[in-house]
Amino acid sequence: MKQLIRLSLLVLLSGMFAACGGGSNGSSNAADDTGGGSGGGGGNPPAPPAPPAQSFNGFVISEVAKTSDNTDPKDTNSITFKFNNTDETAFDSVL
Amino acid sequence: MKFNKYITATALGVALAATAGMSNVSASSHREAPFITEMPKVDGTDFYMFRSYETGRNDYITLIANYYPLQDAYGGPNYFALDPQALYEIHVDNDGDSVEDITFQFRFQTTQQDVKLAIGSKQVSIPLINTGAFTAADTSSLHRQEDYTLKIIHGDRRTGASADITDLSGNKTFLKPVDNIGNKSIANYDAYANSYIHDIAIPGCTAGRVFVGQRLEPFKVNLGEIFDLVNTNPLGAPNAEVNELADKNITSIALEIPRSCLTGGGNIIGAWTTSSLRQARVLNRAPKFKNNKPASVEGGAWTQVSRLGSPLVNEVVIGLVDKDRFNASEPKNDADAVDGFADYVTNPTLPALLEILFGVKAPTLFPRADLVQAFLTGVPGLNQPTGVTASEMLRLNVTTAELDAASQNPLGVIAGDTAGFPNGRRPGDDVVDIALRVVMGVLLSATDAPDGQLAYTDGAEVNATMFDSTFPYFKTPLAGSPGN
Repeated sequence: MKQLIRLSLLVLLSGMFAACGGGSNGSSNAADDTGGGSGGGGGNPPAPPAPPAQSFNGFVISEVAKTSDNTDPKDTNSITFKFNNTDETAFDSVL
Repeated sequence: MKFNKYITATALGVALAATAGMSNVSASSHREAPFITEMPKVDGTDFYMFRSYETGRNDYITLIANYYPLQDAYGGPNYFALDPQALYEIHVDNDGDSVEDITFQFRFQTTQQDVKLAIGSKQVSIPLINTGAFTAADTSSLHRQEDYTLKIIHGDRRTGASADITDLSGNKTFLKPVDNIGNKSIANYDAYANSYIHDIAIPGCTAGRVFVGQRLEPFKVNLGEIFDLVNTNPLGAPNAEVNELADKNITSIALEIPRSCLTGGGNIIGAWTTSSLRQARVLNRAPKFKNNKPASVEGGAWTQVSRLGSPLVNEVVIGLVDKDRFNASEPKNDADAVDGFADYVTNPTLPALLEILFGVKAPTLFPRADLVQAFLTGVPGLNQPTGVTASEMLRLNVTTAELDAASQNPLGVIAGDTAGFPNGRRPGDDVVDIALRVVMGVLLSATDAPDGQLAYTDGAEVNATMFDSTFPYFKTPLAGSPGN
């Protein structure tokens, strides 16, 4: 039950970050493809919990805002997206 | 005016197709608007609607939307699959208010097998979609197959009542034939493709038919010369020039629906086709077939990118700056004083351009009420709905008796054949010649259109005998092989 509540909070917080333009970097970074290898140091630690589903619309909005020519494309294979396919104004802020 | 943006965040690979305020349309519209040239799979090229003239089928209306222009038959190994991330639609307005009452909605998907060969000690994936000849009955050597679902929506296309259209056994998925690779892969393409004409059960209606597949491009036009400032003699013989699309294929989405299923308050229906994409796309820097991680991920609301009703509208009527906007627009807004397109019809530029290029006299009457009837409201007494809201779509009086192919006049209504364009559009209607003559004033008096009765033509001949007389009417596509 506690886990369920924790997961719900994570989803809620993730959604809030995604909804606020400025906070979306944290959301995107959390889902970046850098996890898994860095903290191992031998042995077989338990697999990290799957990251919560990320708002696709929020992800797109946050990434479109990045205009630097010097960064690499983000790996999206490790991200589970949550889609809202009915919000016709979802991207108005970047138009 | 806002323009559609197509943003590619270089480092990230995010492409966001945004559409607020954007629209764009066309008819007989092969690559007619700047934005649609970037996405040929969803480029609607031509739309046809006519009372079926196949023997015994005159209680049906045939609707055909063509997509994916300028296909070279040899375009393997991927050929010309439709976009599984797109929504292809045919809309019908049956009460004249320029809002869809019925929508037929197609979604495609591609199933692909990873076939491997033992090469030395390793299993290695092959680069082809088939490893041998196949037929409709035996596709064991075909390793990529498209299929689609079909829905009917009553009411608003996004919020209306949706129901599955099935085959007569209740299956919701329909197979689409592979494109005409060549006769070593598919020995008898005609028979093969005909196996994919499906009888369909339409909720609340009797049975109809559907076919989606590659066809020989039916639109015939002297295309290169037309766009090179009409670099041809527009008063020459109607068959003096070459149909420059003769070596191309197209993909047809064809429906045959009982007349009674389409009509509402009257006998006149209007229809058009659209395609839509998800509003946003993220490009995947590392696609993985094995893990079902495709080359891109799409999300967001359906966003219309192509619109097509009557032929040639977006190509030669709508101004260059508004073509993308037209493709994203809906008929209900066509007459809007700010966001509409009425000026392009009431005060058209094409006749003036022809006057400049050839010295013929353009009509002098404005606004052009004749063009409003031909393109926006329908012709009174023929295909104009009672209380019509002006908008661009193809309109058909479903009670107009059909004519067999040999009896049809390719010039349609202006030649006295009221079953032809602009009362619907049949495969054999010469819409280029009709459009040229109508815009130059064939329906006006000599006072208003001094050269209105000249026989304008692009010189590329078309008539009904060039097509099949059975559903889906368009000819078997050119084969990719053998080439000579």
